[in-house]
Amino acid sequence: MKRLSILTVLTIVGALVISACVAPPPETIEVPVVQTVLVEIEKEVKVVETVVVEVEKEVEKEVEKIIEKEIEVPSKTLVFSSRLFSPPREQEFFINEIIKPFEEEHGVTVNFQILDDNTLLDRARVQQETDHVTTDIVVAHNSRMPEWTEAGWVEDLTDQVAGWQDRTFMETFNQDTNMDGKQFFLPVGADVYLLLANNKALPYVPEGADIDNITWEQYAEWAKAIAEGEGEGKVCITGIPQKSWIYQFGGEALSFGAGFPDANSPEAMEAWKIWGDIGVAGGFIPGVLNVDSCVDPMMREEAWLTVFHNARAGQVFASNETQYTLGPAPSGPTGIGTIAGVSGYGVMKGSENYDLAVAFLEYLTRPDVQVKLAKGTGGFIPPVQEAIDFLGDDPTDEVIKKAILVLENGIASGVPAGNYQDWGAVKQCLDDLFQDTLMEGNEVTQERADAAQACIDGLLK
Amino acid sequence: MSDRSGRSNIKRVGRRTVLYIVVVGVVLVILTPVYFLVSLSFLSTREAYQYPLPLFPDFTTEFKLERGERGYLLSVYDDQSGEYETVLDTEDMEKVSTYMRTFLNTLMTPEEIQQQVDRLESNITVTGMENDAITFTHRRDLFQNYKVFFRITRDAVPALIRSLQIALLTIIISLSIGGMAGYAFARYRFKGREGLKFSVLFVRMFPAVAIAIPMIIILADMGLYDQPLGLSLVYSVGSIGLTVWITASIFMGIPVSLEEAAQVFGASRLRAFLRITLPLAFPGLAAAAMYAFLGAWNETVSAIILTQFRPTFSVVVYQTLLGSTGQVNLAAAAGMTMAVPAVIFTFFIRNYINQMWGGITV
Repeated sequence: MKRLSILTVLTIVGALVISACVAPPPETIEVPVVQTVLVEIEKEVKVVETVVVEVEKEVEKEVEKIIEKEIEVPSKTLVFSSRLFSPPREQEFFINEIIKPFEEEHGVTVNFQILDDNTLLDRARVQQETDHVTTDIVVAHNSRMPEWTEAGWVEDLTDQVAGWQDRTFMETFNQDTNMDGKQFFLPVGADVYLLLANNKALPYVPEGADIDNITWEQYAEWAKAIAEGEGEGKVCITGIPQKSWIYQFGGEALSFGAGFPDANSPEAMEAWKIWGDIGVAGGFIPGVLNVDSCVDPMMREEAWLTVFHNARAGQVFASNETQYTLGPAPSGPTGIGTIAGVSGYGVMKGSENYDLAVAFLEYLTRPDVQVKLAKGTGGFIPPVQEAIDFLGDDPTDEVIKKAILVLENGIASGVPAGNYQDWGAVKQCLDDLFQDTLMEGNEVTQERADAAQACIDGLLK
Repeated sequence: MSDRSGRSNIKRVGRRTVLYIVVVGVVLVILTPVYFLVSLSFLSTREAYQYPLPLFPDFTTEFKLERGERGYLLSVYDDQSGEYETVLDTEDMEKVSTYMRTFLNTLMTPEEIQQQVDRLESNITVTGMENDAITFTHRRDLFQNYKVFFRITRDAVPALIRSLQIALLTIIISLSIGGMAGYAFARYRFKGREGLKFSVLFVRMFPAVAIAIPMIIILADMGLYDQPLGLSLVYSVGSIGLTVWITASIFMGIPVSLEEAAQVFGASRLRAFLRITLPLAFPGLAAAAMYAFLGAWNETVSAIILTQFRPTFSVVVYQTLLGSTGQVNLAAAAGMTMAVPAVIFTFFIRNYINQMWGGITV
């Protein structure tokens, strides 16, 4: 008995090992015309029927077998590697609601993979250098698009886009998606910053403040009132280094007339005062230094107030629409400031499925599909002008509308990561300032801000 | 005399009590996070973000339905507050159904929800009270997180099989090459032996990501890119060094006189090795196999870059969880799915490793 079980285990192991060693290389096989197959089946059925009428069961069996074989014909595979739609819920939506209809319509398979920007670039480099291109479509962040275009790893889509008369891509992102007058990326999933408040925070809203038109001073007052009333800070920012504090501060600084990234101009110093007030009053949540995304603290109701990425705000909002209130990012003396980002679809240079890839992008950038996608993935802005006509008055539509409002009326800045040796290190300069000043409950001095700016400037290319 | 024995008894009991407290403390420290991970993997998203975290998932969800501003107001019973908390105000039953599935792990079709709405409306018609409400309970799907994980990773099962293949191949390559080298280091004296033995660990000093790109180019040239065999070769490079050290120590602990005795009785050198030394060295080989398995099973950095159409299970889990903020329960389910095969493997191999504590001098 013992020997038998050992023999069984060894057999299984052997089978696994042998199958691993003789795994065939992946191939893409053209889909054969199904109609001809069906004709063949019909013929065969007829023949059998004319020969023997009594053996109907056998005939059925035979027909079933043939049909099964023909259904299992492998289809063409389109490889779609994306940095966007990474949350599991978004992945599920994208696969079921967006990819599947396309697969059924074209009789193909879309291999959807989530990868971060660095891995996408690494993989592209390898595929281009070895002349073994297996990725068809990539979705990259706008801050990394210059790396793709300068390396020549994505196809020029200008002529393809010119043929699509029913859609106009927002010009806000042309600087990133286009190069030398040619369009290499098609924008998708634009993002800005929105204010999100748990309704428990509403009793503390300063008198005369309107959430849809709140100023940064009022936001600070609100944060202080909550801290005082609750005995604990409830404002969330991402305190873990190299996350999005730079964007949270940067957007606010823009509303005061500063640049981005700007740590020490007079306008930036005004912006620091707001955070200094909140810090001195103990307005940040106690676990702020462990926060890498405000989604979790907001959902846990550990935090009640934040200004962050609209899609993530939408994600929290969707978890309980009756529990949260959304508004545009607070405004400063020059209006609403926000860091705006976008991702973009690109077709990998040398893609073997170029036509199919373009067909998929044509489908993905249709205005109605863009809205469906935006609503199903937390509330990204669909960066196609005509898409706005498809928005309704559902709470999720409201998220998108508010984001569009910020994008159209706000002072927006992209992420100039390409100008610096290491964008993560740039983030760190402001993270350090936050930790050694605001977290300690101190105001930001000009001297400290100058040091942060020197740190940033030292990283310029 | 009796006083002394009484005092020593008290001391012994005291020592034992302290020992048990320490042991129980250590066990709790180890098991508590495991328990929470398991529990979390069965919680709905809503439960997973409650404070304090529920110790057990609910088997049913209790709802309250009433008319709202936008359509119908859906509330969920909260065990902790003992009250119903509103979650949705809509007339879109599809949206309600999606919400229930996504956030509450409760599977109700739009038609079933519509039936409850109709019940509410008929109640209001009968009572004439606009603010009337109805309550209803629905069974929860405990395995929803696991189902979602396998649904969004359409390649999960093949990836699981691939990971097993890679891990087994890694064990075979590491043990055959590393084991032979370990035996040579233990039994033979040659120039530069210590230096060579030390140098086999050098390969472990390089981070995987640093050598991943050149590795791909080499594998692509060999026709092994995106192949289980290629990946197991890469993993073997790292685990061979460790295997050499473990097996060399084990073989050193087995007296050479045992082999010589077998040879005196007519066994060839190979037969003496196979029948005497190898069975004695088995615990050490099992330990080396376990390290090789766990290294190959959990490795993600190289696998992401070295695979595309044939990802390993760790890559599939990584890709699923890359942006899983707001869904820690799903992350827990994926983590559990990843951990179970490793736990099973360790469970089976532990008997051999336990033998290392006795019988063999290491």
